Amino acid sequence: MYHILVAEDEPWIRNSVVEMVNRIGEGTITVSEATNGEEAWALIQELWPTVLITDIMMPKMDGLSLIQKIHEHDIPMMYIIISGYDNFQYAQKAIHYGVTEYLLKPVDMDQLREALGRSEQRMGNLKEISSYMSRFQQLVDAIGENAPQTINRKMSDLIDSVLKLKYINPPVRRNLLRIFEWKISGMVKELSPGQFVPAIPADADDGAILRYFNQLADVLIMHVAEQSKSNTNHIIKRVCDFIHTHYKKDISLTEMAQYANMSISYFSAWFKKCTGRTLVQYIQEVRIEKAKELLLETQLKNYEIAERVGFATQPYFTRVFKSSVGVSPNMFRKRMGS
Amino acid sequence: MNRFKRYLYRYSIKQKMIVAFLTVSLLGVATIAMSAHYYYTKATTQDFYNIARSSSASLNHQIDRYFKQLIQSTSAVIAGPLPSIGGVFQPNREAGAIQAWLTGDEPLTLSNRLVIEDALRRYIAINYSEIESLVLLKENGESVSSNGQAKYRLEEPWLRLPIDEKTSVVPTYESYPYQIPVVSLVIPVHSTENMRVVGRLVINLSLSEINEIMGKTSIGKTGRFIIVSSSDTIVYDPDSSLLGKPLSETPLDDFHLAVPDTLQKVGNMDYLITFTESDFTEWRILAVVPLQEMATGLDVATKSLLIVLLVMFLFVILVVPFLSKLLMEPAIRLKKVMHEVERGNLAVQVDYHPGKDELQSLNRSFGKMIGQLNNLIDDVYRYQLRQMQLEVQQKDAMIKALQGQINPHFLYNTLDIIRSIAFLEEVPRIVKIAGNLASFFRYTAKLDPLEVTLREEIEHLSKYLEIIDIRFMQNFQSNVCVNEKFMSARLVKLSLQPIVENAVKYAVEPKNGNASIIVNAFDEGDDLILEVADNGPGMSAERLEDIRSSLIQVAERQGADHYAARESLGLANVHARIVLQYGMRYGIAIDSFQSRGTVVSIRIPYRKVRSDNKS
Repeated sequence: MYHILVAEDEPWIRNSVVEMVNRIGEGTITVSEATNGEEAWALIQELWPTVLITDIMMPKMDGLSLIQKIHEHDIPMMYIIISGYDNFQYAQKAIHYGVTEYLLKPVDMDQLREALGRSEQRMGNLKEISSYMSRFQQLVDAIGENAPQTINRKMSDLIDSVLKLKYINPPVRRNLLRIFEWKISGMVKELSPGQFVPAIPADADDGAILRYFNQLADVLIMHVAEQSKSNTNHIIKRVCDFIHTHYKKDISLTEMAQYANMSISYFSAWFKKCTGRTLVQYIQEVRIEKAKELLLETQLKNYEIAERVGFATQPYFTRVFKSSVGVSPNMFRKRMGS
Repeated sequence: MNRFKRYLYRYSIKQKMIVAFLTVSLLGVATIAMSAHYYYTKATTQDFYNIARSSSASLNHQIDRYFKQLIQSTSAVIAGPLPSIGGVFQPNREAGAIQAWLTGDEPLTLSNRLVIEDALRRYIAINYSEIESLVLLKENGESVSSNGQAKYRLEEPWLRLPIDEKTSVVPTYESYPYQIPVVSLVIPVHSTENMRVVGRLVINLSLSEINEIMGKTSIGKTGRFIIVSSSDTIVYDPDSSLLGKPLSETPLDDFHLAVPDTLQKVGNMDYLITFTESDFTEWRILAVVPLQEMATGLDVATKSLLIVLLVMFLFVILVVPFLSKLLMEPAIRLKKVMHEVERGNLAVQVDYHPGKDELQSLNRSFGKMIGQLNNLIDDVYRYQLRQMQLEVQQKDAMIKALQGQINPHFLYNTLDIIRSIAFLEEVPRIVKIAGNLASFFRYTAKLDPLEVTLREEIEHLSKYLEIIDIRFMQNFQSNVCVNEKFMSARLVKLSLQPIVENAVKYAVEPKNGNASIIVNAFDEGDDLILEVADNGPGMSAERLEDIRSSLIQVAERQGADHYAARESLGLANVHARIVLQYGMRYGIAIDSFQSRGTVVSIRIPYRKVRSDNKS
């Protein structure tokens, strides 16, 4: 089980790539999507995908810049580039950042399957890293909901298990600690721009590192508590209202972050904190709810309903509906309807 | 004339110059020599005439005077000796004896004769020793001679002469009895009383005095003076054997002596001859000189001219090559420059020195001409360049406009969107056709590399065939069976698919898709052969021949623009590119059977691939 992020600005192509990955993965892969590089960057810091499938030409931040950024932050990841350009310079740059898969548009499902297969083989300890990352992410997400003691204990457990990698896999350990530090300090700085965050001393021993992270967690808990006091409810309500009225459209994270007047990455995290779901999940849920209503209240055909609620195609709608509700739209109508 | 010119052009200017110089100098010298000879001869002749004549005249004069003196001095003797100063005391017997004898009628007494003879001898002794004898002659024939009672021959010329007033000179003859050549003066003797001619006095002169007179005067080395009497006997000649002989018996007879101042040729010698005639003696004094002797100066002149000629000849031989080199050097340089220009090198430098030298001005003109030519070429070149730039810009604009219309990214993106929709809508045929079309375009549009592997070509072909497969639904069949070992062979990009496309056009389309195409490959020696076979309608023998000859034409011209208008563009194009890349051995061969199908085979080199097979 691993996570894949698809970054592509063309909605049809993005949907098709997502659909292909879903069919290829058959439940072993979870997929999320981004409409541009910035969005992808924000989602990476939240979702910690193992594989990034990205177009090169995208608004806000192109695919190569995105990969460069990931590379600079030493976030371990596999890349698959899908591009309309058979351009040597692009390929060369991509290779420089460790990209091994370069697919030309139009993307053939067989090619993509092969590329994913090869990536999976080379993944190695990436899956391990990503399990640590998701544990870390859950922990961070839980701040503000769980009691500070619980958070502290969980943090200690996580850091302890990472520190234990010292003899098994030192690079992974080093990498994880660095990412954790970067992530937490980033969050603290976002919540309180003036706050000073000390760095891990280079020669710190395990005990010191553990203490350091507990301290960071404390600071973060304190700031989250402060922030939850401030009134952001009306903003989340406005965002949700917008989604309920515009679900037919292709609503992107970027668009909503702009609507909420927040940065993409902050909005993404904040939205998840507020609603308990990612934006895409939320929109999907809204669309499925509307589809249910239409199925029960109208005689519209499936493809008409798919179109009305904002699904690109009927098969896509059918698949999403099935995975969300558990039965196909027709079955749902049959069972629930008259 | 033309032949002469052609002959002339055969030799170098240097040779011609030498010949011309020599000819001119020799002609000059020869002319000088000839004219010098002529005028010199003329002048010499004239000089000779003048000198010889005056010498001759002076000799005549001297002889005349001598004779006259003689005659005068005898008159006293003839008149008779004057009474001596002693007079009566010592009466001179001689006095009046001659007169008395001559005027008297009495015959001469012996004593008187002795007296007279004595007087005559005394006269000779006192006055002129050269006188051989004096003879007094009376009208009646009595004579008294200083030689005593000499018996004179009747032949003595002076005996025959009539006794008259005339004084005459008898030219040289041999006198009797002593046989010595003498000249006789015949003088009339007058009576002292009545001046009547009573007798004559003959003075026989030996030639010693004349010899003396004549001997003093010489002319040239062998030139001589000769005295000839009016009766053409030789009075005097340095050769004494000729004396007294008539002219006709001597070698002098060969000369014509009628006119003075002549140049005559006798034997093989030229002689200059002149003379003057004395009124008194009526003798002619001839001057005879061989021309050669007079013209010794002429020899010198001739010799000096020969020396001059030799010097000039040497000068010409030695100096002309140098001179011709000096003169020809700029011409040769110009020739070199012209050869350069002939070869197309217009960047040559033409040096020249200002002045009136024709070659320099030719150099200058030629340099100017090259300059103008360069300018002209520049102009034309620039014009063409501008024209070309214009064309290129136009084509560039056109290409950009076309690119704008078919923006590759736009095209591929759109095809991908089509493919994505089809995928989401689950229409696999559209997914395939859109994907393959995009790949097809991408492969076709990319110009480099020129050579690809057979694998790449076959992948491309498969995408194409899939589209054709979908197009003809179930009817069309295709089979590509190429052994894996040939897959890494290299060949010109886009060489296989266009052949198949051609087969689709001529075999599959006419049969509405009810046809098959089979592609296979095999090696033959060092070559690899790719075969595209169809079971279409085939073609007629004429059409097949047509296509074959057009393939040959295309290969021979090796130009890319001749097959543009041809019907079977695919075949000719591929053939031309393979021939250009690999050579005439390679390319396309076609075989067809009416209503059974066509086989097109592509021959490409395979051997060089074997070595880098592994790579």
